[in-house]
Amino acid sequence: MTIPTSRFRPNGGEVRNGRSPALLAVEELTVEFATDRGPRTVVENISFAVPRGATMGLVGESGSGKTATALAIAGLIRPPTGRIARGRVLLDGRDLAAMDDRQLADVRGTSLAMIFQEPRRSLDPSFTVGSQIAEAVRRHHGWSRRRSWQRAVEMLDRVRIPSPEQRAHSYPHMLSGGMCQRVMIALALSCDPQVLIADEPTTALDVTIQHRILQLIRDLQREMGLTVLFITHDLGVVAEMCDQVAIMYGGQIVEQAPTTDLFLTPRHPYTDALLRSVPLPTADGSRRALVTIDGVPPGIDDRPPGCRFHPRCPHVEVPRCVEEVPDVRPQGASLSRCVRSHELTLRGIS
Amino acid sequence: MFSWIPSGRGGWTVRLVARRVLALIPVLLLVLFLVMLLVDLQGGSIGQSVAGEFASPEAVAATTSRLNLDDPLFERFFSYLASAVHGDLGASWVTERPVGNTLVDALPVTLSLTLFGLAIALVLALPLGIVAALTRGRFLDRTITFTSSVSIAVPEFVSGLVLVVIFALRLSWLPATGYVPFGEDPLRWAEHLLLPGLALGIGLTGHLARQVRAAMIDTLDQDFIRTGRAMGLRRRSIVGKHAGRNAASPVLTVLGLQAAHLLGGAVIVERVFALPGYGSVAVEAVLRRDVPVVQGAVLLTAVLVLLINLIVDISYGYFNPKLRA
Amino acid sequence: MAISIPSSALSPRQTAVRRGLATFLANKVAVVSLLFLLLLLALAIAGSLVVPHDPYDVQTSVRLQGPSSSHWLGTDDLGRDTLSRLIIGARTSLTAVAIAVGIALVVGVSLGLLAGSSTRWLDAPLSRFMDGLLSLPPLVLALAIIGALGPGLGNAMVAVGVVSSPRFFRLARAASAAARQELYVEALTAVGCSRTRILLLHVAPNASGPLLVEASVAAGAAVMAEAGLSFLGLGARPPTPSWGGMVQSGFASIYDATFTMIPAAVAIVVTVLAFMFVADGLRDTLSGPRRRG
Repeated sequence: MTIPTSRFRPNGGEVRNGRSPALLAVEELTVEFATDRGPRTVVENISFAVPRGATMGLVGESGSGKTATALAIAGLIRPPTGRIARGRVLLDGRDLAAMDDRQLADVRGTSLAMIFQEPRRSLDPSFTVGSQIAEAVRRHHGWSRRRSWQRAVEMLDRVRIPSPEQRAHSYPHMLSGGMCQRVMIALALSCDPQVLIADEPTTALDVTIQHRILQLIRDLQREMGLTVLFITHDLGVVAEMCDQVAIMYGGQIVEQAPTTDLFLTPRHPYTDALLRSVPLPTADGSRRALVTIDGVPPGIDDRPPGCRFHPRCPHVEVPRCVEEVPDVRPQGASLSRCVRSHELTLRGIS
Repeated sequence: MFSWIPSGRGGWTVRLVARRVLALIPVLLLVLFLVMLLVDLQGGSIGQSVAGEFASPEAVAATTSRLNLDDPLFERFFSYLASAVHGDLGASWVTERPVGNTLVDALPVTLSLTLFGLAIALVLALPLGIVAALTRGRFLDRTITFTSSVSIAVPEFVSGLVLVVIFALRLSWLPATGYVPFGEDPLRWAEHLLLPGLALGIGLTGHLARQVRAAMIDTLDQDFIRTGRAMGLRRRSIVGKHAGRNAASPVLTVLGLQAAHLLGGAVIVERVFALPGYGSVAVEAVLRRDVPVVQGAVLLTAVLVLLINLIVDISYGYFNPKLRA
Repeated sequence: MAISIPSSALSPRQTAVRRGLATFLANKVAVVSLLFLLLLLALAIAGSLVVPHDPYDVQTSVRLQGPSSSHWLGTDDLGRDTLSRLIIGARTSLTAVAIAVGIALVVGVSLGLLAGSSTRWLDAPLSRFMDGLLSLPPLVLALAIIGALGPGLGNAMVAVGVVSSPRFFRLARAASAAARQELYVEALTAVGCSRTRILLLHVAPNASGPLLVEASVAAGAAVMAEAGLSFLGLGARPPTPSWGGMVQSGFASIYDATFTMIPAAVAIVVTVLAFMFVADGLRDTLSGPRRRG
């Protein structure tokens, strides 16, 4: 696992040329879903900023709210399914949370694009892959059919699909999972967005393909100057791809830091536990028991009082952790939502 | 544009046709045989019915032998089949007119009626189903769903009669009976078919609307719809183009299944509106125990059903590329 | 509807039945429909006791009258009281349903059980045949059979029954095919239980839920079919009152008195709806309440 040295600070980073370096900023975002028993908060008071050209990782287990955050940022959570209850989503200064459907439809694709977890299911089986890309291009740029098709073939080439002219006439069911994900990437980037949100794009793929797709995303990011928000539960991917990381638990961000700092000096017990549960070969080749975190993450309806992680925390201190609701405080290069972060020395993977 | 229809040996169209025909033939044969068997079991009474209630025994005997009712069952069966393959469906026991001719005359009427019913059903059901799917759970959806359920329960003759009473008798907007061939006067052709088509189509509309709604709801839940939204496609394109094409298959299935019922309903509607289609012909024949005509009508129906199913099957290929191999 | 009973007191089957009953009873539409059908049954059995007039009594002097105090629903073209004929007509309709659904069940289920538990040589042709039957218009098939046998309620309903059997065939076939894999079937065979016994006493009852739903649907269709055939003059022979026949005679007098055919038409639609709603209710009971929407 190679850990990139980070050049960015969690609060948005260095100011360059007078422009705010944070292209994508989320402020106090709170997202509610409609359930049979009434509205429920799935994401609570999230704030982070992603500098231009950087890659930010959003990590958590299922149910942590990371996918909901991504969908909310992309404006894909609308009534009656759910809504953004509070907060702002700033893309280059414009607040997406305040826009209506029509405005959002114009923004999506051109300024912000998203790729999803199951690439094969995310493409329309009734249309060729080329026509799907061409359709998006036509919609946003108004080009002719011919020019749009050319652009589609171009994009397929860029994502390194062999024989793109022929492939463009294929249907999704004819392509492998990895190819479909490349097509999705081509589709997402076809209208030159500034921000790419990737929601677990490699989770459903083979490990060998995973690596190639991640490489592709990295290369394209460099080529096109993309800012990437990468949602994942895999710390290995984070190490490979991300400059900064935010760890989510129970709908909140519990820690946020540049990647190296997070891995070497975690400031939240949950992060620490996650890192230590990554199975690593030992120096002398001996076996080591798999470390797990006891218990399960809280569901929407049974969130514990005080710190949400306290029932599972090895460093829990009663009554502080149960009574105090911790908020985010800086700790070195990181931000941590733990009342004991300044007292604890967590080793992470070291 | 028609590139999706495969050609060449072993194309799935050929296999499909073969399979359909294979499924239908045994049933058809069995039904025809059954009819003949039942006629056989009646013994002399058929001859009696045809000759007339007050005919003398000699007349009845003469009729019986004229109609070959004395011959062994299997002989009659196979000779019927043999001639049927050549297009000779026998002659009416009552009018002595070749059955084939009678049916050919009646066919355009029934076809027009069925097409009208189908068209009306589609025109009504598609928007209703889509709207219901889009306004899911709310008042409009519930109203549409309920109305669809009710319309399924209303027999064609009831809706036909209601329409006649309101539109033909009370308001005099449209004619209550009769048929005008298309070639003669297209406008009046349509006029005469509007009410019957509506009567026929209402039941189908109910079934279709429900299916369209269900299919749309399922399709709109799919991941690729989310991708469309994520790329900022207009709602119109997402619903109409992407959801629509993918939702078509289950709707087509229902259409295929209900097509048979449509042909059955046509029989009744033709009686209500006095349209001289093959349904009317068949009912008359049944009342007069004119068996060859009835057999011919059954044969014809089977062929029509086969055609409809074939068309539906071929359309599947258009909407679902996975089927074109 | 919470029913608190110590859990050890009831077998799993009994709890399932109770839960099912609760679900069904919660569906108001289905309950009302069921009550309506029971009322119809009562009328069919004891109708002749409650009719205000003799349904066969021809009184041409009062023909084609609208509703009045002596004839609540008016009279038909022969002066007979519509209400009385409507009540006795219920008997015709329910008899029709009984014959049609009865035949469909017997033919469909027995062939289906057989097909599902047999080799492909028997199963394939049977299934093909049933598929073919399903694709023909029921009415036309009925016409063919009636054409051979002659008009009459019995004949007509036999035809409808035969035509409705494919659905029962499918259900029974699926049940017996699935049962082949079941352990209890192996066990029963091992102790010498004959295949017929197994099928009839064990497999069939397990499939009774979906069969009941299908029977309800088929009953609704049978009412419609009987009405249609009687309307065409191919079903119940006069002077037997039948709803379809009443609509037909009302239709014949449509220019003189449009009201005559309405009561029977309404009766038909309401009865079909009742069967449909009961079927929906039963379906919900079996599979758990559906999500609304």
